[in-house]
Amino acid sequence: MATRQMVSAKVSTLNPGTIKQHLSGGGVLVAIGPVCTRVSIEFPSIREEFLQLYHGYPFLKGPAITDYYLNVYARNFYRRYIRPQVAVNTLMNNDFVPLPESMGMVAVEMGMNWQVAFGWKSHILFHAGVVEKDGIGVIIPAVSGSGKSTLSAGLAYDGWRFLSDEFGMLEARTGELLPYPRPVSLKNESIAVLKEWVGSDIPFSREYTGTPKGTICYLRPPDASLKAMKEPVKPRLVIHPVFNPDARPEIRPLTKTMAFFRLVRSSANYGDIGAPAFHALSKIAEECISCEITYSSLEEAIQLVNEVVGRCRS
Amino acid sequence: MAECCFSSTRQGDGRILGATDEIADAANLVDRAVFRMVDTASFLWKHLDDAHIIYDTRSGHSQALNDFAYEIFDIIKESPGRLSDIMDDVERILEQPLTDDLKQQIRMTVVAFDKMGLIRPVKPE
Repeated sequence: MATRQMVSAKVSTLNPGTIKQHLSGGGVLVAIGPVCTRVSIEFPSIREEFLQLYHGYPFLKGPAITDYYLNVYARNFYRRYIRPQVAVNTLMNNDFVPLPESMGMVAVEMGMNWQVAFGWKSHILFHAGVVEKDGIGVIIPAVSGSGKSTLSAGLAYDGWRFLSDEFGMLEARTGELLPYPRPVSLKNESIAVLKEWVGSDIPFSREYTGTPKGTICYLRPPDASLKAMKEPVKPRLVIHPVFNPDARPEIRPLTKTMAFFRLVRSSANYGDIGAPAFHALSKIAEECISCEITYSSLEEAIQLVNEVVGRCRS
Repeated sequence: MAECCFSSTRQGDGRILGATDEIADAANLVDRAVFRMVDTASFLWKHLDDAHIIYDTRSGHSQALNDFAYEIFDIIKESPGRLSDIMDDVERILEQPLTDDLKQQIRMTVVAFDKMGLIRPVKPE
């Protein structure tokens, strides 16, 4: 993997004019952390939204090792122009439910997520946000609805470096977390919370209503986080957030055993990677501070995270 | 020793052999069978603060054993034996007679080990 990163770093990036041209044709190579995906989109409106959301990401001129392929297309002529509907081809699974053109970016993001979730075996994957400050890497694993994305994004726009929202990637050999800073998928109530928190509409996509998960809006990570997407960090904290609008703020330490099994539960490929994953996760459980925080607002959650970080420093 | 697993074995023709017998015998089998460790080379261990984590490389599953379970596991690893032998060993370690509650816990632990695939019951000759 280290060799691959070095190869990618040497490849020059495309200028904005040619990105659009490649995106509508044979595809453009978008490199995010260790993952390189060739993306092509038939629909002009979705291309525009993709380029707006992925502004600041490196688009490679090539040659580069391509991990994934994602083509957004119409299954036939009528679905291209009459009640247009987008389909996603990943060369891995073509059974995705077609979506209306208005939800094209949702199809793109879900297709990219699916590929990594089911196909990435080079690193240990956590369903977790990852952020870093002053060399302290924080893993934020969580189930849906716990506020993981809101907290990761809130920290990213509060001076933390954003490494990932959906997939934390751990290099088993080195024990380092690799950045995979894809746009953050915000849902429903969290959209307004983050818009107020960030204070600008610029890094947000438009809102996609009526999706299976309600309203979705994507948030581009801060530029500084994108520029540092090749810099790994050692994990020092594991924080499991629990959002409860009626709860009082609380930090509950986890035993090392509980911390271990929570990490196993949040990993998408622990069983596939096997013994190296066992060693890596037990090392994190042994060496990192692990706790669960309960919070009722983003401000409260960030305050609790900073409190835990303070304990980590001391 | 003729081997006998709790789990049913499926023949090439799809017929499940011995299922009825095993269900009927299952309760007694725990008391009669000799338990022995499966290949210990397939286990990886990590001792954390309050438990012993065991990773089974054959299945990819991780389990947590508390000190009590770990001690029973160790007894079976040292020498295969019946449930009664294991209880005798625990009694020797504790240097006092086992209560019914403790005997029941040992029995449940052994059954749990078997379900996890960590040990294997075999029928004595």
